[in-house]
Amino acid sequence: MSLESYRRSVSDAKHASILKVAFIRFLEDGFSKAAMADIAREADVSTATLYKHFGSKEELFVAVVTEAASEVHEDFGTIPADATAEDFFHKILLDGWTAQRKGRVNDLLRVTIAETNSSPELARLVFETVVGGRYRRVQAVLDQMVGRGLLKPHDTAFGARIALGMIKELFVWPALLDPDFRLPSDALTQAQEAIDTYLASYGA
Amino acid sequence: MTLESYRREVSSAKRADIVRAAADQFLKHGYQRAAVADIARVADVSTATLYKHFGSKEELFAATVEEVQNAVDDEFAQQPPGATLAEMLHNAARTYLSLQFDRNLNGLMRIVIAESGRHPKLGRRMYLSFVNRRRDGATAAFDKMVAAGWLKPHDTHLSATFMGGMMKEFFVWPALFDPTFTIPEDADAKIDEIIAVFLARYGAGHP
Repeated sequence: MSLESYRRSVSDAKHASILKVAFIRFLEDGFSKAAMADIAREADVSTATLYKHFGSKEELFVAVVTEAASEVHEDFGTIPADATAEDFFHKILLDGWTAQRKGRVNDLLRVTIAETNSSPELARLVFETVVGGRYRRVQAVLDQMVGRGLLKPHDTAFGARIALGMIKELFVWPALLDPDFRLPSDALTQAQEAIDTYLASYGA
Repeated sequence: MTLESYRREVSSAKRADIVRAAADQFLKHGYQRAAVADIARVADVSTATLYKHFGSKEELFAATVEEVQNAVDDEFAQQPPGATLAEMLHNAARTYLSLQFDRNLNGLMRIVIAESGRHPKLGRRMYLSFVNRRRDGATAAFDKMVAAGWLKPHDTHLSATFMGGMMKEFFVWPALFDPTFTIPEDADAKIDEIIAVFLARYGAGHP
């Protein structure tokens, strides 16, 4: 290993350990009360190193949320040529469910929303990266479905929000207000009706 | 006026003052930092009086939210005579928006979500109020539309859920992350597109 690549691997390890510690501190203390000095200490780095990786607490928070939200990146490009529209929607659903569960995205969003009044800039950034990112990901898949002739050409930016709105009402809103919420046993049946509603308007 | 009814009237006026002051303080400071003593002071009552009306801060907060929602008992109720199905749905959606924005239900929802990690009981209770109660109203309205032959027979509880979800995605979700978010200029067009998606699945061909 060259000195250069050794340094990079140490730096990557520090980066990862800061993110891991920050994730827990933000969830437990909230954004305002979480202290950069504590995060550095628990991650076993100096505050100078911490700030070299993340220029501000806002930047660190957005990095934590972004990482949590993107833990799973389904590769929609590899979906077989004979896949149906439903196959695509099921993959979108699964992607969303896994990210929500593993990344504790709802918990981080709750921390963000708690700060909307006091740190509007932070909330705007999180909305743009996490929520906007999700809109763009779903829209890209819808575009791909249109390209394959599985959906009629339509306003897929609007479509992404409609689709996510129906699914979030079923599974995200209850979780935001109730930390103990678990997916209901008939989740798939409910989701299927949302898919059918989408297809009634935009199915090819 | 009897002494008894006079007392009742004073008491309900005080209650209204307290709820108004509470909405103001909660929106300004959030749930955690809003102080019951300040709310009493702003409402010009003693804290003892406040606690006689509302046993706890949580009670007071819940009452504040419910008060806003009580302003509109049924989003589908007030319809001009001869309204078409699409118009009725559109009017109900506009009523929904006036609650979220004019009465600042979006701001109150932000507070509940922020607190629900620490106060799961409050979160669950408010979920019933924010989401379930409205969904029940929409479900009942859709049931009537099915009975009238305007909508196909279907799971109206689920379709009411989707309607609520689509509305929230455009008009509530952005407000959770932006305190200055107001009703977008293209709100009417967006509402009509949402209604078109709803009717493509559940409509029975009625205008």
